[in-house]
Amino acid sequence: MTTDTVLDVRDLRVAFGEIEPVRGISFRLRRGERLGLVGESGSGKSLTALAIMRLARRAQLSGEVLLQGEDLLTLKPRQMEQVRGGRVAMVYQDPMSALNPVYTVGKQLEEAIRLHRRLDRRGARDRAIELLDDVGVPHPQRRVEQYPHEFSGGMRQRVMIAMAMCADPAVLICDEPTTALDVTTQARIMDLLDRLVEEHHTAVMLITHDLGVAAGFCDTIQVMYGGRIVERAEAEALYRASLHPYSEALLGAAVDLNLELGVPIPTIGGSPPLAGSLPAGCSFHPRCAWAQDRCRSEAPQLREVAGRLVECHRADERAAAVKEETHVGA
Amino acid sequence: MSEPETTPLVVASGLRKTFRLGARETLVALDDVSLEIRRGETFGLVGESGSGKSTVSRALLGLLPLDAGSVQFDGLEVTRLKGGELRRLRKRMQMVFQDPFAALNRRQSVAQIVAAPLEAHGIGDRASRAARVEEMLDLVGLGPAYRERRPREMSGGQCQRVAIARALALDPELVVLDESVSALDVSIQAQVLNLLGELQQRLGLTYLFISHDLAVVRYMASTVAVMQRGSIVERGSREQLFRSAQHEYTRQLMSAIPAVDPTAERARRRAARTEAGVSSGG
Repeated sequence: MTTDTVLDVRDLRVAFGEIEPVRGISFRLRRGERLGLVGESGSGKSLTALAIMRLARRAQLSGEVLLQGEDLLTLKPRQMEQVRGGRVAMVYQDPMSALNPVYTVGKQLEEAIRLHRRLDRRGARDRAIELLDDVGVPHPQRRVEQYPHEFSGGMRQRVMIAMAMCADPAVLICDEPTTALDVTTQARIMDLLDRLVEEHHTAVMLITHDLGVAAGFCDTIQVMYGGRIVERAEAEALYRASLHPYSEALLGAAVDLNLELGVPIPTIGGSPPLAGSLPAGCSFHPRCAWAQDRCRSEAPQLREVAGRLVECHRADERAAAVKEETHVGA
Repeated sequence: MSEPETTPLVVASGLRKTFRLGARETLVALDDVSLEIRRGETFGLVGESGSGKSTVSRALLGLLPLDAGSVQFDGLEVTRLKGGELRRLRKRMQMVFQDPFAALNRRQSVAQIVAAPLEAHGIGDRASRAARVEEMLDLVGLGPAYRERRPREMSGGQCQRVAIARALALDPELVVLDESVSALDVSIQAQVLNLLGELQQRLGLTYLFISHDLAVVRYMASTVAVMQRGSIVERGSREQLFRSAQHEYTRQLMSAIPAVDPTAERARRRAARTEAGVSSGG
């Protein structure tokens, strides 16, 4: 299992001066694994991704980011350029701002390809066409000659995915890849990611606020809150019963076609904390129905409870309650 | 009570709007759109980007000159009103948009933002307006402490509450909610949806709820219309629509909504893939 690990993040911290939006997170990603990083804005999920890619500008990074054993945080910028888009690649939310409007899609793909492979222009062009075909862009021969504005949002995101996959990365980070797209397009993009991961055994970290998208894609899910991972569990287990009160609130507030009508959506008051003004103790305690004195003064640590990782003082009680409930239910 | 109960608040029929894109090309933004919004109901308008949802709302509010069609608001023909009459009518219809940061004046305090429509319509004096602002903020769950805050000192959810308070300050009958919760985080979205439901009950508001998110529309709206490329392709009560959607596009939209449950969601995606594979030949 350890040999299978492609990404090993250890106590990663991201700080801007005094403010620390990512406060020591650790996790591993195995070959072919689909890991979801869910949470609300300001939870630190996107910054985690940018830190792994060493793209968090002006941030002080600490901890270790081991990609196939090599610590990315110690690499020189030139070395990192080789890794980025090579062994670890990223797909962003807004494909239009990630593509250059004044170059053809083919030219941009060729550039990406030639950064990581010794190919002449003809070879790179052929590879670009092959990649576009692989991500389901129709008429790739013709499409390489076109500019980003001639592509629809979904097709642009396919181009971004083709670019990310061009060097067959070990780790693909997808940051809200479908958030800017229509639902029907979203479904097709998620299908594409599914297929690519299966064919290439790429490890994927999917960052999303959409718990439905995460449910359909991920094996494992990490819930982030206030710059920490507050729960990590297998997707099935997490959705069946979440142990951290925040995970529970987040899942309860999600709207899908099965939501009960005519009653208020179960929700929690308040809003997520800002990185600069975290409450003392557990950062979730002001919004938590389970909070006790201890939660207000002492920060909990991520620990194993009932086969998963939870950062909550009362996780054991909650696990027992969940167990009882399922017994009664069965 | 009996008469106005039966006449719909908004009746739009045969709305048509084309935009010229160039010398030869035209875009049909609205193609024979008709709908009725009953008093006190939430009318959901759903569709993907570019389907014409927001164009419909602009037409209903009299903000868009139409090529053809009629819009009646409480019996008044919106398309023919001008000047003072139109201004008086606009008091009765308000909007809340998607991006609260963009919709609020960054330089104004919350109190100034909420008082702005009262001032624009010359309602009340300073003191009565201040009282109204207080009342509105209370209504949307923001304490008096928020009066002097500026938009950048607040979260997205709080800003959206301010936008709702501003929309309600004039005591409107119709509130157009155009993707009003789409930019909000899950837990904040739930709070705002609950607030909207509560306000509707308390104030007897009529909502036109526009969203690309069919799941949210299902939760909010009792009547739903589905738009595609400028036309309403299907319309019905929530029960009808979600139990037995007739139009292929509605079914497509519905089957694309992810379920917040891994087992159900994987099964849904497998089914969708098989179907797509059959219909497109792979």
